[in-house]
Amino acid sequence: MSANRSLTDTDLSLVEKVEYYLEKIDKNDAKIKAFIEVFPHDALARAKALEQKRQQGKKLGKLFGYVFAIKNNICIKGKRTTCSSKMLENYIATYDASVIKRILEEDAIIIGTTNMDEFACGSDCTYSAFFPTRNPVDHERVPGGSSGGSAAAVAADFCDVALGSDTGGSIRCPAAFCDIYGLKPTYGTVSRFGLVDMAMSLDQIGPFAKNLVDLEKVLRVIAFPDPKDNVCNRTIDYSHTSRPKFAMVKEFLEVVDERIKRRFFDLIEKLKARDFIVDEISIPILKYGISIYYLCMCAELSSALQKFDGFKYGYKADINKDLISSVSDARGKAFGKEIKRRILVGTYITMSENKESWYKRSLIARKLIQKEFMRAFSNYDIVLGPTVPVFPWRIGEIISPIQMYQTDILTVSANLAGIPALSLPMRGLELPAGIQLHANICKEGVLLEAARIIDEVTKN
Amino acid sequence: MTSSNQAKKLNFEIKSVMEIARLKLDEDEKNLIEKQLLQIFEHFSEIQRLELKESIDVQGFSFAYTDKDSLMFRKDAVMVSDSSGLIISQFTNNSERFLKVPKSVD
Repeated sequence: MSANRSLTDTDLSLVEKVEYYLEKIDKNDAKIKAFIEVFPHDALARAKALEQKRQQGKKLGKLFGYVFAIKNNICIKGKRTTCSSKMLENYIATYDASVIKRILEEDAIIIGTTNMDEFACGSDCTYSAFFPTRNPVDHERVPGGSSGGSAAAVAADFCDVALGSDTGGSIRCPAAFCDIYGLKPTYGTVSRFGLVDMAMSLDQIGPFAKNLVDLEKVLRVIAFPDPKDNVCNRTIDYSHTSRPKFAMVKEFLEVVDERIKRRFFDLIEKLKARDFIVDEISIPILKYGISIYYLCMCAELSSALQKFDGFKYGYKADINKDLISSVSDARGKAFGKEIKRRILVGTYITMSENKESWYKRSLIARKLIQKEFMRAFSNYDIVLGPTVPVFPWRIGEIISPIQMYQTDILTVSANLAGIPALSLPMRGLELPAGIQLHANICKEGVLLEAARIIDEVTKN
Repeated sequence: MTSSNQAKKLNFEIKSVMEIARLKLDEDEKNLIEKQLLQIFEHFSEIQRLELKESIDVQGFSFAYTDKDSLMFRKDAVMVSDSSGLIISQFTNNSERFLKVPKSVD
């Protein structure tokens, strides 16, 4: 049931709906910690204003009454945009991101901003500088990251839908871990203006939802060409075929937990029993996806974070030292360990003496991944597989950076190729896991239709 | 291979990298992160064993940002594209330390 339908069916007013969510947050978020900030007064005032609009018979927006949680790296004017970092702990955004402006124009309500891994660098939402978020499905486990707070907010029924950002799986991983739906749109279809960048050629904002109806509804609103983002000039094709051709990648399945793999193959058999084509294909270069991704990403991240120098934004440097010491000191104090690691990786590989051996090679390898996906999509509509190779781990269980990086192995290739990818609940297992679908560039229509088919299969 | 040998092989001198990155670490943190980075580079070095026949012409152009308070874009950000025009990366202007920044292209 979509958010709007439940609203009209039960005659629940918008104010009552917001009060319902605020009560749930009040009761349960002390444990889960999905939110950085909740805006009870703003949300209730907005609900009242929208109710008046409805009573006056005015035209209602496409997201009328949808209650949103927003990842805290997306600028909301007048609100703290912390990126879960000490560096921006008290930074107040001076403008709305393009996606925020658009959802508000369509009568959405924002209930709060959500926790994340610091500057989106992490896969489990424990790398926030403030506190870890817990998985609503199992409080001892991680919700996934980096958009863990947004996923947890939807899964815990603190809101209707949420926005996150995805650079290497940061929407799809938490969607899988929290047993909900998450979508990374085609690169260049959703404006990044107002998204604090992690890696400019990989970042995309996308929706979380409890069902595919709401997921598509949000996507149709937030995806539009935006001159404020130079690369946001692609238009999504929402048309689809009722009988998509599926391919599963051999290399993806080699690294997956046996229980997830068994359930995945069980679902494949059900698809085949309904006369869908599901072939196995091989894309060997995907085995190197983590290295290719992290080299590309760290190079861009180290550049993106240069603007945080203790002077312009957020954390204030001690100005009683020389300039370089002030900047270095501020960055040393305000960034977390994972950020520092990635900055140093990115800085090292982009030094002139190293560029040929690391960065340029990763760019070439990235191009090969793009070509391989294009080749796959010349024969198939959808490439599918599990979203994450493991179940959500217990908080504190993963301790080494490399262990954490490896969990992104199934998600990074969509970002490298710029293609859309969606995660939906796999169901039928003792812990949450996701099925991930990829489609060709701008083919979100095909992606969503395939998701509807798979969704039905997983429920039966 | 010991950490110091590995660092020598990679020509990785963490203090130099910290200086370029404008990042100060205390001694314990520096030692810990250095060990972790060497493990990370060891893992990522698989990319150097990949057979890559493709070539890539890296071009770049600069653009001005649209909002002076934007956390998103900075002045003189450089976008890197391949020869087909596909945007593959974007940097702030310190990329000139490894890319020759061309004249502006509108």
